[in-house]
Amino acid sequence: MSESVLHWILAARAGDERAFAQLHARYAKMVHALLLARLPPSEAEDQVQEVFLIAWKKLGQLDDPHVFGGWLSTIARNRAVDYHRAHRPTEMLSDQLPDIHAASSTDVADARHVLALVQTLPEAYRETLLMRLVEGMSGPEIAEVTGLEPGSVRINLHRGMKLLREKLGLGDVAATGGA
Amino acid sequence: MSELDYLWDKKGSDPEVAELERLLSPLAHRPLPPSLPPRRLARRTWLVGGAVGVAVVALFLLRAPPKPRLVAWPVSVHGQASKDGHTLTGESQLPLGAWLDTGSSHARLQIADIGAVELEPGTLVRIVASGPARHELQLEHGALTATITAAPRIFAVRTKHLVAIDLGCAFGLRVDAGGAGQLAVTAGAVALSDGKHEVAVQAGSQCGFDERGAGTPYFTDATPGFRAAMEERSPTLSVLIREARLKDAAVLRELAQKLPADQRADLLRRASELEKSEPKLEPKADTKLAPKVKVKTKLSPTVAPATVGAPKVDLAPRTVPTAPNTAPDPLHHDARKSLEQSAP
Repeated sequence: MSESVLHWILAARAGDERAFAQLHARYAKMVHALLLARLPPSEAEDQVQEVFLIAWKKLGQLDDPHVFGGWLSTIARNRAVDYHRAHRPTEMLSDQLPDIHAASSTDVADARHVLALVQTLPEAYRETLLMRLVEGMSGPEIAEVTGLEPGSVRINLHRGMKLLREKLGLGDVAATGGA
Repeated sequence: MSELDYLWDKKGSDPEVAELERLLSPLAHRPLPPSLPPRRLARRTWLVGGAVGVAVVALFLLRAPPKPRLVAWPVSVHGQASKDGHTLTGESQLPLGAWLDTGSSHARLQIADIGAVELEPGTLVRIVASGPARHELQLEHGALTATITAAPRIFAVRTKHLVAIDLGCAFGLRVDAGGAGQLAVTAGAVALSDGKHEVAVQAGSQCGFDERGAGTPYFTDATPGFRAAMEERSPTLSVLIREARLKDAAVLRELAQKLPADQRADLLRRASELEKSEPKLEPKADTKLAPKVKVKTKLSPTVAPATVGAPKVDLAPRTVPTAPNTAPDPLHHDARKSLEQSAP
């Protein structure tokens, strides 16, 4: 963790909103990817703000600023769980959930299809893969913000991408093309 | 430069990854400044907020209560069952909320227009939600096999301890009176959720669950010893290490994450040994196909359902039908067979 990030965390913990805004700018993509791994796209964006709001309120409880990325990740994952719990259908008809069929273009439909496939991957793979493919973060960036070892991130990306290629049938295409 | 380098640090090129980036980029986070709560609200803000709040509450109280639509799914009983204690035979309807007890008979339940569920004898089940965005069953005890054609997360089966969420697939589910059970997926994938954690079970895999939540998914075609060890509440690690094949390495890694550090090392070491024996992927030439055409063709919604139904992931058996939604009977058979093999 860089000195500047550490400074922002300490300052934000002391109540500095501008420092917290810096943290928001740095970690929002990670949080969004973690939510997108579990929620519909339309909900993930809204929940990002909720996650940072919770982080802002609880920042005083963070003892070790060096684990801020992991701590924030846990808040995001818990937020997704809370969301699902709050939207769990009861015996009443539950027709208020987002319509995932709604697609205005082929690309949007394709993106939703790919996202649905990514959401079926193991947790570690889908999270890193969404940070990479959706948020445009590089592997080293992902390791930096999540606090994970670069080697672990690289393995997650590699294995997740391999599974995704197979789910999309790209492995077969490549094999045929390369034969 | 190889594709792995581009995936890692964006150096070099990989047309497929680049096309996925382009496709998924509209889903990316749209930066907004954080809206933090003020330390103290001004009096005027409270007054305006209070007035708006009163108006919202008034509107809520004055509006007519929603009327639940009457929903019933066709049910076909092969023998004699009961619906809320009343005898049920032949073709009938199972309304929302009514309990269906199959007794000693088999039954088939049509789930709106998204698929069907075969119910085994000794099964107690009811519909708890049915709408365009969600169809949900509650399985109190017994066994069922489902074949679903809907998009992911439209259909779910609720049990005592967790919810099995369909991700586009065919699967079998068995639950005992205490809520412990087994899920076997024959096509696509199913997510097991206890409200806190979610475990994805892929085609060709199965997963036990109980009051502690979902276990670790493992391959249905694993060796009998490996399967038996995985079905224990506390798997015997020495058996897993001895019986694991190359494709079981991922299972060992998943399981290791749930174990204490002193037990984790042996599993991870064995997983690494197995993975080292895996053939290396050769870098692909970029000129084999135009990347846009290549990816777009595979991602087209008209092609996609087949890949959703039968993902070619490591966890999937190579014999999974390519069109599961049009061939329910073999899938039912496979799911039942998987569950029967794991039944105590």
